[in-house]
Amino acid sequence: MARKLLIILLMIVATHFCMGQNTFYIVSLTVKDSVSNLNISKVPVSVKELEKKFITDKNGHLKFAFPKGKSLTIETEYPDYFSKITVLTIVSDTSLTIHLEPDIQSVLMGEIDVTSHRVTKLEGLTTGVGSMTPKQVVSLPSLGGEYDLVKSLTTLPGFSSGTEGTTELTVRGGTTGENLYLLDGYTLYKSSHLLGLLSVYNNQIVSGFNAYKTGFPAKYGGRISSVIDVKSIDPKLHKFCGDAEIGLLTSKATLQIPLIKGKSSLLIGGRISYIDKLAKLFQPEDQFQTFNYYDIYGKWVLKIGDNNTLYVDFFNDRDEYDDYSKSPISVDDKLRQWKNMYTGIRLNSLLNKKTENLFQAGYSNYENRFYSLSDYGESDGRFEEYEFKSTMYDFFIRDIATFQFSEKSELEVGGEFILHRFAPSRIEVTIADSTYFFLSGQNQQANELNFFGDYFYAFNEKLNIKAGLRYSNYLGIKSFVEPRLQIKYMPDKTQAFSFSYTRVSQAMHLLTNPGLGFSTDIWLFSNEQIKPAVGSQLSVSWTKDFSFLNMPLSFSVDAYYKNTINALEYRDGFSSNYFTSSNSFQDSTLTPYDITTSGQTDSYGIEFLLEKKEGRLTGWVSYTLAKSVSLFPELNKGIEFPSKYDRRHAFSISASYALNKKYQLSANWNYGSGLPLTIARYIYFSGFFDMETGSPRISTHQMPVNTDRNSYRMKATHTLNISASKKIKLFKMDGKLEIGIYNVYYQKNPAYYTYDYRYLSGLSDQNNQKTYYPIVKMVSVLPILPYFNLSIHF
Amino acid sequence: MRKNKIFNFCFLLFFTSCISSYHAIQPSFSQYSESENKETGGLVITPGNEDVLFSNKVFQRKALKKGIQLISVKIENRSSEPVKLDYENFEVFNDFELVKLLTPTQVCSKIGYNMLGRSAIFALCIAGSFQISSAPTGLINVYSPFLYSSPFSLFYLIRSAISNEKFKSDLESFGFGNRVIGPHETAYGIFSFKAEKVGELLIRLKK
Repeated sequence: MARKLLIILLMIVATHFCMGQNTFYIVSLTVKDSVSNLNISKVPVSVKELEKKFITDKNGHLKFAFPKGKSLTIETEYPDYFSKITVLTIVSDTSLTIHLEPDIQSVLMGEIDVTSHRVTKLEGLTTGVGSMTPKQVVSLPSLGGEYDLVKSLTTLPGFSSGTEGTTELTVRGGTTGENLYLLDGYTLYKSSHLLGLLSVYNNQIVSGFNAYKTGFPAKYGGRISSVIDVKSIDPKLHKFCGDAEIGLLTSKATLQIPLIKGKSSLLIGGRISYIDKLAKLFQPEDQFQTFNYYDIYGKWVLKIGDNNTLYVDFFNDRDEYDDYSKSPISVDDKLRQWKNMYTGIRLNSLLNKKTENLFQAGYSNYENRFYSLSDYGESDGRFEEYEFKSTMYDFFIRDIATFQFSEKSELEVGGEFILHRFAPSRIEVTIADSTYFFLSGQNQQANELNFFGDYFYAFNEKLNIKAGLRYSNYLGIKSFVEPRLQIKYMPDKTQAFSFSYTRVSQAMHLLTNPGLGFSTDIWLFSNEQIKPAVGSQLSVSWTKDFSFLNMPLSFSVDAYYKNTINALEYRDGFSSNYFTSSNSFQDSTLTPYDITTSGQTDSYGIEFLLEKKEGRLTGWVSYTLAKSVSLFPELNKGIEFPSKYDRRHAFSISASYALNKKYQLSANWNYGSGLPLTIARYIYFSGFFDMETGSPRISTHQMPVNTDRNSYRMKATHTLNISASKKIKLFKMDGKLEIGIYNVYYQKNPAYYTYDYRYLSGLSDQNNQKTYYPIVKMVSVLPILPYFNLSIHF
Repeated sequence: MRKNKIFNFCFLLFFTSCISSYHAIQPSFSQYSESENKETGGLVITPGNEDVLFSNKVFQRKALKKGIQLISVKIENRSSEPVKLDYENFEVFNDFELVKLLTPTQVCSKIGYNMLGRSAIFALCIAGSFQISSAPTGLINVYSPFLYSSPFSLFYLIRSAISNEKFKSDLESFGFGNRVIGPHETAYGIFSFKAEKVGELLIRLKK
């Protein structure tokens, strides 16, 4: 009896215990692009145990119930991404994020997606992130068939091209030196090839990128205006494959070579141009201008266990521009070279399900060299060799740890130490048999110690916040505390308001020419003479998804105010020509620090973007209204003047239309109002007495007396580009053939302005000598340019 | 003249065919098979076996066309605490997939009689007149259906509006907007959501 009672009692207790329990768990899933970190909508997610296929909603989220006591196997398979299988043991309600890695080859070579670009931007945390999928980049017409992500960025509001057709990027009124270019976390001091026509990023090795114009995560620092963070592809571990491409300007190839199946593989990619060989065919032997470049990229990947991946990276590139002329009495050769290089290791460790660590150490090197030879041979006996070199060596070590506490909160902390060794200008002059050296700040050294942290917290579905702090210590110079704040409020699923505040310091200054002519970029690190620049930016934005005539559209408007103190400019009368003309050695006591001065810049503007991301016709329209003014006590008599990159209006319209899965048409039209320009009121030529003949001689060195700084405007630029592409099969390999026209209506846009001298007939001076008058001449380098491009993937 | 009578008859038949009376929904009268019970934190949900809209063919047809499922449910609160249900504080999973419950207003706007559209059509019918030509005789009879159709169209409009109201009222009564289920009580109601079919139903209060 007692036994029966005990059994009944136990049954009652068990029943009661079970009553409060759930028979299933809830799984909340978010699918993200591993590179851009943007959510991906409409992704099919198969759950093996349920024998069901779910689809993520338009914001990339999915929620489903899962019975207790089963392991969960999730398979995500989606076009343009590598498929992924995730196996989990579920012991409670679970939130998880699946990061899908983009398959860049699939994007470039796969069938054209005639339905949509599915990465959703509304879910992104904040304002100021210009993110494009590789698909969007390749859907734009390119220059010479070269897809260029930096150039594609200039079609988005806020990002603007410094000079027409080039990859010089100016962001929200900032200068070209205020952008941080990263490739796999390594800093690139030179961001372009072929005098800026192409960016340094080879699209065959790029898997995706984020471009921040405000709201920088705290791990980024050292540049005020923007961060272009590019990730390269991880080579395939199981299958050998490659890509090859022949274009008008360059050819390139990439190989992915598995070394140990499933564990280790190698990626090698490179580009080389043959434009110099082509150009020589059309130029006389005794006078030619050529430019060429190459770059090579290598990456070795080793999987160590299930949770660690080791990367060994290598990158090297070189650009060369040669201006050669030979006459019966002399040979003049002006050679400019730029070199970029980095090498290093990265160790990515998954410490546990919620903690990830990235350790990185590396070395990078940048060199800018100008070499000039003037040989007058036996006729005069003069021989001059002039060499200018600016070098930069960086050694760095960095560690970043990410803790994902829950779907609602995440912490990222880290630190880095950077050692800079640099020589801003080293000049070597050989006249006849004598050699002179002029060393300005040779082998200087500066150290940076930075600590940073970002904390993300989502209060609810409507409100989230990311607060960050960066401590930048330029050892021996100054230290800065740089707060970062981003707040996003989504009143409903179709719209979002964002606010961000960013403060960044920049100790590495890039000097660019204030006036006319070819610019030689020189990097200078802050010291006692020039302080680090500090930029603060406030930005607000509103994004709204809506439908118009059954077309899903997205509209966003951003407004910003940016203030930069301790910005650096050349003093009046100086430019980079000071370093590249042989007269500079005449006053060798001046270092680059002596010919610069500091001031402040204010920029503000409003940016509009209307996008259509789905359907056969996709594209976007962007417009920016902006103003940027500078105030330097020692320039322009202390009066405010327009900043060098003060572009008032920028408008861009880009569209691509998928005719079917094979054919695609694209077009893009850009307009930018003219940039400010300083023009000389008078030009003097320095003179000296020739001691041998006793007569005065005029030097070729120009001494301009300038008007008010940036008081003139360049001509506005506008360009229409079109292209058509077809997916093809070539010897059973996937391929793509593209033809297009750059600058369809042959608009002569200014690349730069220079002085020229024109003889005016009928006018002569008092000695009856011909009189030449200086004129300002616009140089346009990109005419109408038809192109073709053939690429294959094997 | 005979032709006119035939036309009148067809016209009236057309109007009267559109009129059907609304049959009240009674979820508590549905059949519930106990084997479908799912214990989920004190709440037990059992879906009904019958189609809620079985007697309301027009609504049923539109629901089928728009992929909207209306299903009667029995929810038992087996806990010792009262449970307050509102559309925002609980989640429903149909065949393991989270579904968004539609509010009575949303359901009515999707599958109810489209009053605006129909009023416009009938207004046009009333305002217009039809010309029937009798070719063999060469005579033209000007014929207005207004006199015949107006009472029916008015009746139809009123009936449609009443049906909509009743339907909405039923959905509100059996919906789960701000509804409290006492301890150990059972509540009957209606779930409306978009889905291809109704599978296993699960309910969970949001934390």
